[in-house]
Amino acid sequence: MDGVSSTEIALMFAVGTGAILLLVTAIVLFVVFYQKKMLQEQIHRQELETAYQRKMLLATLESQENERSRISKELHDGVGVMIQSVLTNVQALGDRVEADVRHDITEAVTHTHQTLREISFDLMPASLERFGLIHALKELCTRLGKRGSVRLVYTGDDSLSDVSGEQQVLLYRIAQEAVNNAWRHSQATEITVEVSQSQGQLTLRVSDNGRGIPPEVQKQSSGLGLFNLRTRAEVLGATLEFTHLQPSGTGVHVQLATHG
Amino acid sequence: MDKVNICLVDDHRLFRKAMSRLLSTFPRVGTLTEAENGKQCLDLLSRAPDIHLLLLDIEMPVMNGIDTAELVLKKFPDVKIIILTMHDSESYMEYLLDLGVHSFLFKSADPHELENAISAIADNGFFHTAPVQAMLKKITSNRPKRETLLQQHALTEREREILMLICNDVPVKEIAERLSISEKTVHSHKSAIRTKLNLKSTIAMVRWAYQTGLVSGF
Repeated sequence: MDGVSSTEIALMFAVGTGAILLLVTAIVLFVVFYQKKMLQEQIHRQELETAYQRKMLLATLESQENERSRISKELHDGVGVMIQSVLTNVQALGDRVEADVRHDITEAVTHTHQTLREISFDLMPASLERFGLIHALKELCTRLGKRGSVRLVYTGDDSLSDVSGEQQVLLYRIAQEAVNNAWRHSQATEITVEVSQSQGQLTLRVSDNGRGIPPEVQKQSSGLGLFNLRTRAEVLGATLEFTHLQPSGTGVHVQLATHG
Repeated sequence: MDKVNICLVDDHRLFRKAMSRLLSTFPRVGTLTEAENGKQCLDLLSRAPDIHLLLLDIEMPVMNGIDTAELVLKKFPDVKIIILTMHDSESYMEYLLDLGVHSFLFKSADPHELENAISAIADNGFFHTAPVQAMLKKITSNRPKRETLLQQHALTEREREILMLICNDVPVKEIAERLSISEKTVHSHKSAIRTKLNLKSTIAMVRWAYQTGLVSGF
């Protein structure tokens, strides 16, 4: 019989099928591999972008803090001393000026001075740079306590370990913002600030007994106060949580991993 | 001493001028010298040994108040130091108190308070100024520690009596009269208390008394 035997046809068919299968597998593998690589690259690019954004944010916050610190010192030590000199001169006048005139000038200048000191402290507490977060938080409680009828208490550790100066400033700002929110908007009568550290975890907690943050405010990211809180927590790499306290009030809870 | 010779250490010329003007209206104040930083102050002290008291600012260029206080306390232990500051910060106060300075006043202090404090600190080494009062009040609200309570037993009854009088702003001279002993004996009791409790200054003694609950005036 002339021509191709059926065995040969079967063989050719098998080889052809095998080749096609191989080709398909190769294509499929290539596509899968390629997609995976693309995905990896995308993730990598996103990571870079996030890292870059974080770096930029950190740089912005840092330069903001430096500027605040400079203005705070300028006000407290520069302008403050000038005002104080006026006051001391008035006091040295003694009986050469009518007592009620002296009293009125003294009162006005003293009030100006007090306001200036409050602004300076809000901008950047001198104790934060010199003595660290805990001291500054205690002072925040004392000072705000004097400005109104809300009771402010610091409870918690007396010292910190393995927390950098930058981290302390960021944590202070979070606490300050949380305390200010509670102080201004929550109608609380008592605010508690607490910092504790154990097993490489730092916990900052600001609690009040006020009326709480409405959920719609909590969700919107445009509320500047909450936005500031979130941004700083993000830069720190810390978790931030709002809790509803019983019977009433809000807890702001920040957790940060520290080494050591 | 009759007149108190004062050195005013502050980097702001306008403030020094104003403060000197005010100080010169106080009858108890003797000679007045000025220094614009800690280094100048130390130079002055080594050249003019009759300075009794420093009114010392904290923030100054060249040598700040904290470093200055540390050096003066070491080299010139008889010189009294009142920190005269704008920093109404407890942290600063506690730190300086541990160093051994004698008292604190705010630059905004009432002139009478300043005048009284200068006399009392020159004579007795202690006076309840407003910032000191605030700090003591805060200490009293804390519970005493066990070891400080044990230390309290280290003092004799006479020593405790004298410490309580000091805490009440009673001048040394009057303490001596009340207890019918000499001023010198009062002073030696005072230094005995300091040694026993390992404290650097009279104000530290007073703080200790409030801390342990030996005195509570609030």
